[in-house]
Parts: sequence; C-alpha cells; structure tokens
Amino acid sequence: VKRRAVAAAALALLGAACRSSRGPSTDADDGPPVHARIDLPSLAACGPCHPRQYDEWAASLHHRAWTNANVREATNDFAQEECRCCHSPLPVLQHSLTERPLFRAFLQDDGVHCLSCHGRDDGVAAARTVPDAPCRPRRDERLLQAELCQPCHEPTHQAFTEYRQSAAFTDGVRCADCHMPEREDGSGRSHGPHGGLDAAFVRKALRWQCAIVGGELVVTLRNRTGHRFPGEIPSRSFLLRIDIRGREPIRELLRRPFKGEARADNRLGPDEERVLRYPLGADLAAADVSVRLLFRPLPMTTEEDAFVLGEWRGGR
Amino acid sequence: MAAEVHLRCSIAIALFALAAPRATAPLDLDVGVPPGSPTGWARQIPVVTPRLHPWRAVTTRTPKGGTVASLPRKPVDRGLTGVGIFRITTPDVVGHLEWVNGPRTNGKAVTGGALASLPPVGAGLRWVGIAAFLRLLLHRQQVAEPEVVAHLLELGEPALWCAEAAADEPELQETAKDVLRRIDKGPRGSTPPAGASPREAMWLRFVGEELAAGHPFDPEGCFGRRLFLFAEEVEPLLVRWLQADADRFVVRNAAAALGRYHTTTAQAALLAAAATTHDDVVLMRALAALEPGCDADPLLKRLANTNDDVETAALTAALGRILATSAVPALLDRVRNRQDRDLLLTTLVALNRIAQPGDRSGMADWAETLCAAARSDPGRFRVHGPRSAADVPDQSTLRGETVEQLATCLRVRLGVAGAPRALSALLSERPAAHPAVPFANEPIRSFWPAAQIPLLEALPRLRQDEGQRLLAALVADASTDPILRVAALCELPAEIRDPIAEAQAAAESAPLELRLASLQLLERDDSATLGDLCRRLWRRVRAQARAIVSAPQRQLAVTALQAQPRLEAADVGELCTWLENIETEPPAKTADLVARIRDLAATLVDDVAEKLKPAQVDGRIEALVDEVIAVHLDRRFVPDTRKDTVDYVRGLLATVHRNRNDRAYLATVRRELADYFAPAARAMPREIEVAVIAPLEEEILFAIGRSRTPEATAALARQMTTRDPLRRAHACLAAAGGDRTLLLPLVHALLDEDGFVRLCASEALRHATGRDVAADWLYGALADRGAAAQEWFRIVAGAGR
Repeated sequence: VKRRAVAAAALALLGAACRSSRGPSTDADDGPPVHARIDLPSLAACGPCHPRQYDEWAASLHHRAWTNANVREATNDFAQEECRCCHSPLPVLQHSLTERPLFRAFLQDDGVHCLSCHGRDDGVAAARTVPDAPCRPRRDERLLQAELCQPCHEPTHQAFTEYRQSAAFTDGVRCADCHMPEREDGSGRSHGPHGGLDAAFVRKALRWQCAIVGGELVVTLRNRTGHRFPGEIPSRSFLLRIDIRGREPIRELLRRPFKGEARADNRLGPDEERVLRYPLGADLAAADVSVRLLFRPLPMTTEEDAFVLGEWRGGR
Repeated sequence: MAAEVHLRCSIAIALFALAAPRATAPLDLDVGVPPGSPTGWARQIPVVTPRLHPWRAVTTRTPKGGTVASLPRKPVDRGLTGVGIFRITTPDVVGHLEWVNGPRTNGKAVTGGALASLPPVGAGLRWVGIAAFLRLLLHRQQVAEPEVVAHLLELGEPALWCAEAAADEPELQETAKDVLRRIDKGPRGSTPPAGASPREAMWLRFVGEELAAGHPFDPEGCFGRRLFLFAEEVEPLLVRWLQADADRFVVRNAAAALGRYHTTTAQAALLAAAATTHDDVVLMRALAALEPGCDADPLLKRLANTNDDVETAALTAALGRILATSAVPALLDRVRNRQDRDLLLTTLVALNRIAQPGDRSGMADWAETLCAAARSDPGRFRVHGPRSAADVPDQSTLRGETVEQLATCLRVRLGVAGAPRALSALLSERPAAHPAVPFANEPIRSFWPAAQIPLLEALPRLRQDEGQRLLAALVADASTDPILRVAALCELPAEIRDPIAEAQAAAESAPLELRLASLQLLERDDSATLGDLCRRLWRRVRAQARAIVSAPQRQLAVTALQAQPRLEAADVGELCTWLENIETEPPAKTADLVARIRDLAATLVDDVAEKLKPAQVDGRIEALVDEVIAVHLDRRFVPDTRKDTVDYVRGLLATVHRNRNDRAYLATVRRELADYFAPAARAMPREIEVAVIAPLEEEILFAIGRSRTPEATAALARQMTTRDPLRRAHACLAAAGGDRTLLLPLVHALLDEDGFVRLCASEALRHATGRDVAADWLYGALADRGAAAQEWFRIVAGAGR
C-alpha cells in the first residue's frame, strides 16, 4: 500500500513538474481542474473564490515561508537543501503525514500553498463535501488533526515532540484549536497569522505572577502552550526585565540558540512553571521594583518595540 | 598639480556582515575587527573627495617650458565601499546590549541631545561609532584602546551620540566619558574669516555653509559634494577656515575636508594644525591625513611634550604613516620606557611602515627580543580591560601572538637574515581561525587583524617569488576579505598585477571594492587595455537601458568613465542618449525605490486586467522583473532567479483578466504583487542599508563636455535647462570646455533661480573666456547680478563676433 502511495505521489509530482515546465497557465487557457492548480500561486488558484481565507493566509508566515528574510538568512538562501521541502511543500495529504513533504520546485515564492494543506488527488480537503463546487471539496477529518502539521514542524523544529509531552496532547487539544481558531461569526476557522507575530495571541501564551516574599522578588512564569515558549525558532525571544531602584536593570533572555551558538536552550517547556527569585535587600521598598515581560518576535526588535506581555510594579 | 582623488561610492552596505564564516562561528554576541589599526578605520568610509579629473582643462609644464594637457594620476585608496566598517556579526545585538539602542532616534537619523543643533546623523555613521565601542568591549586584546578613542575623535560630533549610548555600558563607561569630554573640550570660536574682496567674501561664506551642512564621515551624506567641484578654488579657503577662530564644528570639518587633498598646501596647513591645535578632533583629523614626505619635527616636538595616551597613539601612528625615519629613536625610547602594551602595538605597526634594510637604530635587536619574549610567554602581553561579553572571547595569548607577528614582519622589512623563514613558519604553523576575524582564511588566517596589513606589505620580501605567489593567491581567493584582496593586489609589481586587475575588474562576481581598485591600478599603471575594458563596463551599464541602475553598477561606471577620460564619438552619442532618458538623479534611498516599484506593480495589474492583450503580458512582466533586479531592492531578485520570478508573477496575474470586474480581487492582486517585490513596511529588519549617491550623471556630463562634439554641445545645452538644479550646475561646468555656442546659454544661467547654478555658470564663463565680471553670484542682490550678467552678455556677444 505504501509503495502505491509513493508511486501516486511521484506521479502527481511528475505531473506538476510537467505543468511547471510549460509555465503557469493564463486567462486564455483552461488548464487542469481547479483542485490541481498548484501550478498557480494561491492568489490565482484559490483567491478569486476564497478572498477571506486568502487574505488571512496572505498575512501569515505560511505565505512567507520561502521569502521571509529571517529564513533566508538562517538557511543561507536555502542552500541548506533539507529546509526547502517544508518551506515550499507539495500537498502533504498526497504524500505522508509522518515524513517530510516533497519539495515543490516551482512557484516557491508562494511558500506553504493553499493546496499544500488542502490538496488531495480527488479534490480538496475541506470541512464538508460540496459536490458542485469547482475545486471539489471533500470532507476530510485529517485537516484538523495535529498530525497534519507534523511533516513540517517535526523534526527540525521539534514542535510535535514537545506537543506530545504536553497537557494539550493528553487533553485532545489540537494545533488548529489555538492557531486556527473558529471565527466569531461562525464562518469557519481563521487562516490568519495566529502565531509569534500576533501580540494579542502571544499574550495568551503565558501566565505570570510577581510578588515580593521575604526580601525577594519572586516571578512565576507558566507556559500555557502545548510546546516550548518561545516556540520553534531562535529568532523569537522572551525577555524578562526587572528594574530595581539604584541597580542596573536585570534581564533574563529566554531563547532557543541559533545553530552553532554557544548558549543553552533556556525556554520554558510545555506547561512548565518556572519560579525565578531575585534578592532585593532590606533597604528597598516594594515600590522600588518593577517588572516587564516582553516578547521579541524578531531578532532586532528593540525592547521599546517588543510586545508587552505584562507589567508589574511593586507596592500597587 | 598634485594627484587628486575623486572617489565617490554608492553601495548598499549590509550592516550585519553575515558573509563572515558562519558554519563554525557562533552567532551570538560578537563583532568583527577590520584589518589594520583603528587609526585607519575612518579611511574605509566612502566619502566625497576632490575631483580627480577637474571639469576644466588641466595643463602641465613640459621640460622645454611649454604646456601640455595632462591628467593627474591618483594613488589607490583602500576602502572605496565601506565594506570594512560594518562588521557587527550578531543578528540580535540589541537584545544583548541595550545601550546599543542608545538615545532614541527620529526615524533613521539622530536629531536630538548633544547633536540637536547639528545636521542629523545617518544610521550608517551611527553604526560606525557603535561598532568601534563594540570592538573595544568584545575584543580588547585585538585593539589598542587609545587608537579606538582616536578613531572616535576623528569621527567628530557624531561620536557624541555613540559615546552617550556606550556610557550606559558599565565596562565602557570610562572610555565613553573620555570621548565625550574630549569632543566637548575644544575651543568655541565665533569669528568667521573675513574676505578681502566681495568675491572672496562670497566664496568664504559658501565654503563655511557647505562645511556646516553635514558630517564629513557620514557615508549616507554628501559632505563636500558641491565644495569639491571647485577643489582648487576652495583649498586656500579651507585653510582660512581651519586657522580661524570660528565655530568649531566648521573648523573641524575644514580639517576633514583638507584631509582629502593630497597637495602640499593642504599638507602644510594640516601639519601646522597638528602641531599647535588644542582641539582633539582637529588633531586626529589632521594627523590621519598626513602623508609620506611630511616634516616629522613638529610631530616629534608635540610627542615629546605630551603624556596623553590618545595623543601619543595618534602621533605615533601618524609618524609611521609619513614614513618618518627620524622618529625611530624617539618611538623606540618611548615604548621601551613606558611598558605600555597598547603603545607597543601602535608602535610596532608604525615601525613596520618606516623600517628599511640597513637600519642602525637597534630596531632589529629590539624586534628579535620581542619575538622571543612573545613566543616564550605570549600571555605576558595581555592587556587588562573590559570583561569581554563575547561568546568566544579573545584568548589570553592573542595580544602576544599579534606582537610576535608584527615583530617578525618588522624583522623581514629590516632585512634581517632568517626573518623571512620565520615569517613563512608563522604563516604555516597556526591555522587559528577565529570567529572574530571576518573572512578568515589561508594563508593569513593565523595573523590577527592588527598584523594583517603589515604582513601583506612584508610578503614581497620573502624569498624568490614566494611572497608574490601568496599575494596573487590572496587576490584570487573569493573567501578573503575584499579589503585584504585590494591590499594584496596593490603590493604586487605592475607586470604581475595588471593582468590580475584586468580580470578582476571585468569579473561580475568579484566584489565591488576589488573591481574599483583594479580599475584605479590599471589607470595608474597606464594599462594599454584600460580603454577597452572601460568601454565594456560602460556598455554593460547602458545595456540595462533603465532610469535606475544598481548602485554597484553606477559606481563601477563612474570609475570607468573617470579612468577613460577621452571618449570616442560613438561613446558620446551613447552617453547623451542615456543621460537624456533620465529625468532626475535616481533616488538613493530605499523608501523611494519601494514606492516606485509598488507603483509599477499596481500599474501592471491594472493594465493586465484592462488593456493588454495576452501576447503583451509576458513582455510587461519581464520588464518589471528586470526593473526590480536592476534596482537591487531585495537580494532575492537577481539574474539567476529571473525566470522563477517571471513565472511566479505570471502565475499571480493568471486570473486577473478573467476577474477584471471583481474590484476586491484586483485590489488584492495589486497589494500582493507590490508586497511581493517591495513590502511597504519591512517587517523583518534584518539589515540596515546605507545608500550613498554615485554621481554617474555628473560624471557623464563632464565626459560629454570633454568630448566637444556637436552632439555633446546640443545635449549640454538641453541639460542646462533641466529641472534638477544640481544637474543644471554640472551642465554649466561641463560646458566650460565645450563649444563656443554654449557661452550664451551660460550667460542665461547666470540668472538662474538657484545660487549654485549661477556660481557654476560664472565660473564656467571665467574659464571659457579668460575674462571675469565681479559679482556676488550666490548671495548678491538681483539688480547687481543682473548688471553683471548684462556685462557678460556684452563680452560673449563680442567674442561671438
């Protein structure tokens, strides 16, 4: 069965490559059926009929998976070939949910194409089957399963391994439940950028508490996510800044190390509660202490521009 | 006339020199140290300098007493693109060191605090100063602190901003305060020099205003752009400003401006300033500009009377730079008596420049003793300073190793028997790559930055042709720092380097730094192939046939035009056509380019929806992609990715015509295409780009002016009425050497609304006719200027008859 699946994927790849070699179609020609139009960018293939989903996806890092400057720097413009397949994947449902996807060697600038997640041989994976729609939507339970994300987010970014160690996994909370929440108007799930670039979203990731106990500032951080915090990539960091009157500010930077970097991975584990203690000295009043919890979504984000996850001032 | 240099650079400089070897280097907190000593770092900043080829004819006296048209030859300046000044290898340096954020900025420019009353400081110059402090903090063993302070003082007022920021770093606090104090303590004069005649008063005021208009080392600024068009006229006035008890910002900038001349007048004025000034900024700028042949006595006297570490370091470096053999005993005495490890480093570099075979001052014995001491116990040369926060701090033996390397180079230069063998052994025995050495590689990877330039200068003294082979290999090695490749090329004899230089200048893949230097070397060596090479380079630029040419291409074209001053008629025609297709100078700033490309993208979407036939779409897409590639807006868009990019855009537009009535969809496609090429807001500030204008249009105008063909005359007349005032001014100057029919348009330009255009027109008339009509063309009353213009009309009309 597996051999057949591989053969089918190879055939699909070959077909896509052949189409690619002819170049994308234009308004003038009919081309293959809509559900197979991975030879067109998402905008042209899906955008005309699904503008809302397109706009949400276009603002996300999935869209910029191939083009964003950070990933290009980190992969030396994708000279690291093992990175390519997840940043420009062919449809994972046509290949495997336990292996890395196959590399889409054309239209890479579209990143994670709509059909990378939705594409099937016989139509598109969807929440429900709509027989007469041009793209042939087929109800597919796999679309909401956490395993759909595994091929790309594991093993390089270890998100799935972390997830399996989390309470979210045992509670049956899936990736999409947080990162693709239901829209408030009941029109389905959002395809938007619910991740590290969304300040409001990141604020939900952490529960924290500050108190002065026995001459010490005690900061308690609890990771509410189903993966490490900050998640996945080293360009994101969490910064705890403590200002104590008359002293240099204290900074705790939690971040995954870059490749080859000589530092420990000090991020919070899934569900981890970490207690940090800072001696204050007898001469200080509670009002002399303030704490800021900051999230820097990009490497060069300054403290001033970082997302403020929380602020605390003693004596209030 | 002494050799003049006209080096103007236009290059987008990646602030984070991530081209440094990353495979093994930790990416956490670190910063690269450029080759050479800190007193030479400022020379790597691209700046405007006096024109090499003046806009008017230059003649030289022949031995028989006549005159002949001549063109001065220039020395090769290292540091044409500023590639060496930004080496901050930490992507998130602001996350490690808060002080780097420093006083807040207004957009990209510093406008507040100590600099509130001065011109804004661009991001590039700000990072130059920050990088100097970072090197001191992270690699104290590699740099002498007094030299770093001297470098910051040479930067002048902009270093105030950096020092204010660095004062928040406990390990740098003392140094930062020292820099702040020194820059602030200079005399505060208020009496500008007075002109003896209205003409002199006008010129003095013009020079003063230009000096006050910018920071001399701002790679993004245009300090001196208008000033240096009149290099000879302005030189004595710069001396007047330097010697005046005037506003110190202007006086300091006068020292910096004079430092870009290579004339005896400038050198004498700078030497006098260096001997007597009480302003540290003027002192550092004057000392940094002194050249070989300068009198060493005033500097030696000053050295004998000072105990200041920074002044001592700068004087020592300057004595080395002017090759002052008479200074050797004093330098040796001082370094022996002081037991100062920073001074030892500075002195070794200086002596490496001065040393010649046959020296009797005891240098060889001293160097041998140093070598032995550094080899047996390199740790004893370690300096104490800031606790390095680098992930891989300098080893305790690094300073000792540097001392041994410099002392060995010194012995080679002194012709000590056995020294070349010792140098060869040093080159081969330690393959000590270090993450702080950008572009570390063989065969100089074992040599630390302070010793790298002395090593290149010592290599030609190796046995047989071993040194030359090493130098040639360095030039060819793409992984080597471009600064070192240029330096290595300069050290090769002309017969060997010219073929190499020709190949490098023509190679698209070679770094711009190396290509520009190669052209200059070929020109200096009177290469027979230079004309063809320049023409080929120019044609490549012309082939782009676009209003905006990439910054490196522009700079290369400027250098090619400068190197090939006499054009053939066919070339002139091409230049005229190209020039007239450009409305104004291309925008230098990324924001302008972003806006332009976004507009073009939106227009393309609309045209595909409504106007274009299917057969026309591909051509328009390709034209847009070529435009994007040409402006170098994003490194994703290069010729190698052109086909993929065209395919992608074709895909984005594939269903536009079919959905042409869906306004929302069209708006989405417009936005997506614009964002694809040029995001309006760059969400990922991975790098900061420093863009400097490459004066291609200016150079073309002067090249056309020199040709004196009918086509050129017509083109110049048209350019004298164009909308861009700077273009009009350049056209006026270019017309000075042109056809007589251009005299009348020049008289009309005397009534131009722009003062600088009027000044250029009057100067052009003066040089074209040998006559003069006195008037204050810049600031004078309209009635006076009108009367003077009337007088010019009579003169020109008479000449016509």
